[in-house]
Amino acid sequence: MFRIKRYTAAKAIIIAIVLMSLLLSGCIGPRGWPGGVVEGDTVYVGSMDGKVHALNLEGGIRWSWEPPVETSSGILSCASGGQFSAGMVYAPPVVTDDIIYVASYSGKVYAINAGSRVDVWSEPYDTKSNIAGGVAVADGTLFVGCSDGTLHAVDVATGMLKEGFPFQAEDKIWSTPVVEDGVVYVGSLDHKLYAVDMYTGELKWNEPFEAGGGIVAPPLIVEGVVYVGSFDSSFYAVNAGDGEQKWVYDAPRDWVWAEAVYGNGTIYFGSMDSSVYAVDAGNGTQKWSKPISGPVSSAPVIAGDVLVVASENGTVYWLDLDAGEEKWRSLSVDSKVLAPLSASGNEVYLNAQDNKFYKFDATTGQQEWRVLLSE
Amino acid sequence: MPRTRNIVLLLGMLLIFLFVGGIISPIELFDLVLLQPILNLLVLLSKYLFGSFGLAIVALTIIIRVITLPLTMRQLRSTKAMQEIQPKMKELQKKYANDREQLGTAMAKLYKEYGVNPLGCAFPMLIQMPIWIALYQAVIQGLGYAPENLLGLSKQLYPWAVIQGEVPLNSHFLGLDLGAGHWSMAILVGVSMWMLQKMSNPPSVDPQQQSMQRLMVWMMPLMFGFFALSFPSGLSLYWFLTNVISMVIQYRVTGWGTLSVPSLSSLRGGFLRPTGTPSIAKGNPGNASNGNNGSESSQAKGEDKDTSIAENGSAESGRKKVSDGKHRNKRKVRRRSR
Repeated sequence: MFRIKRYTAAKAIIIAIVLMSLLLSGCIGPRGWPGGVVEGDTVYVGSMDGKVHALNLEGGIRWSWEPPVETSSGILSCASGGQFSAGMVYAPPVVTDDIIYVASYSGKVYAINAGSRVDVWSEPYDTKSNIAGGVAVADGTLFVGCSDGTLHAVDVATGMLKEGFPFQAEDKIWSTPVVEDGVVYVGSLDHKLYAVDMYTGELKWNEPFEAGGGIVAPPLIVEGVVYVGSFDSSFYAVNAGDGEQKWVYDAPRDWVWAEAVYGNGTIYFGSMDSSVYAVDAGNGTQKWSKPISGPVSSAPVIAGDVLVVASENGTVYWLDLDAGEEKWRSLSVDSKVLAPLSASGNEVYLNAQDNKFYKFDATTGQQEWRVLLSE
Repeated sequence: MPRTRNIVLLLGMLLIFLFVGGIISPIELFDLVLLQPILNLLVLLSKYLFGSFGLAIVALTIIIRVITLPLTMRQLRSTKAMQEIQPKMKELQKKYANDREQLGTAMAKLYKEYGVNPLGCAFPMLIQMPIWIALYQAVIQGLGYAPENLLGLSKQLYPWAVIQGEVPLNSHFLGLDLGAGHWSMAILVGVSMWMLQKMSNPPSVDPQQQSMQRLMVWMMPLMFGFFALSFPSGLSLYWFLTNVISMVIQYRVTGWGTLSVPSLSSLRGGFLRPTGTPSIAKGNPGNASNGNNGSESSQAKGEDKDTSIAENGSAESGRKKVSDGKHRNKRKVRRRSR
């Protein structure tokens, strides 16, 4: 009897412990990866707690803005879609005409006056779905993609949805849209790259361009060509006019997650296979590839004549644009790096997952300062 | 047994060497041995089962249950054998109430005599725990609900083209979002868990044990149902299917246990029941049951001989056979004839 009772009690305790550990493992994880953006003499950067900070170029925090507190809807507040912390942000803010636009994972888009820090709209625009990308603003309209596969166009003056939108994709849109010549280009996890008329919400191409895997990288548009990487370990060049494939580069051995960068007729991008690639923008032939210490999920930048790449494990590389050789000795920020890098001239900004924001000098490869954005 | 023990010991020492030597961390080992195979199998199954992640979970559940069937059978037989030697254990406890050493020796002898391993009940359940955790992680990561989950997925997928382009998986199945909790799954999990608990709980004459069992019968379903509200429905689907399969296996081994279900014939008013066809219901004294409801029948069951023990070649002599209902008897006869 004693053994049966002990066994029964032990069974209950073991299962309870396992379920609790399951629950806790589900609650830990999503935190966002907000990047920074330089506008004049101010750096606007998001932190892991959903705040937006305005920093001067010496690293001093001028002011901070915090989104209103929102309660999550899940009973245990985890493991379910759409029930994570409201403040998480997965892209740098966008600043246009002194208005800062920031999209939160909770599905809300905020417009904040950079001077007065008051909300421009009477209430934030609610997409009613999770946002895991950034926003694009062009010609008085803000575009943002959502986890329910919708692409919203919001009038920046009123904060209202524009006619003809939302555009519907077949799966999540986690890619930040890019607007060029009246067309919104956005990738989706349905493997497709869409070109949508920014005024009507209609498809511009006969049919969307289809890759072999999901697309979360924001497209890069240079001289009438859209460049984008995919989960099928390939990188594509697509004619912006008709959506026809120009070339495909399939040397990577893992996903291409982050946005590419263009310079000197070359496309540079990192892959989750822990390599950086340089490909001729015209014909897709490889110029060089450089193995690094970890997967690349943060977008690289070109600062001066240096390609700056951060691996997920927090190592920052300074690579020569022509040959991919290390220009400066790599350095570590002792934290994961997932947010896209940003650059202004020779200055490089990096937002690490430990909530520390760094400034580097690309001419020396040295850290200038770092600031803890929040505890 | 000594051979198994040696293998377990060797594996344990190897793990300690790997962990202490810093060659691999426990998390990396867990990912390598459990999470990655389950996750990649789910993605593959999903690809070939019409792109349905739900069907992939169904197939995976069946695969896992088939693989762990020997363990499950061992657990059930062990549990049943433990139930059946309860009267003898009670006698020994009375006999050696003041001598714990003698009691321990006598107990060990009893276990040996009946071929019972007291830990045999817990081991299969412990084995399944890491599978739950791995499946939970696989569902969360496979569906790529949060960007971090999807980002982490790339590190868990095998570098095969057939898998790489398949993610994230389609999260919709029978109107459910498999990545989010849903009340309907909570109910299914709770009810199936309650039924399974009722079936698997041994009848008892001990009031303390009865109250413990009552607690378990309600606590487990409520706990699982509550968690199913917040866990992804994909995991709840696995739990529900596992419960259903467990109920089928449990029925094959021990019958309906203390679960009281109206028989098909009684639902039809009884008049369609062929003469001599017993009801499957238990708990109703009026029904022909397999005799383990209530204290009287439980005592009888306590004296019953488990066919599986007989198959295992353990002691059989001097034990009364008590009918568990005609359908059960037929099964026993079939086994004996084999």
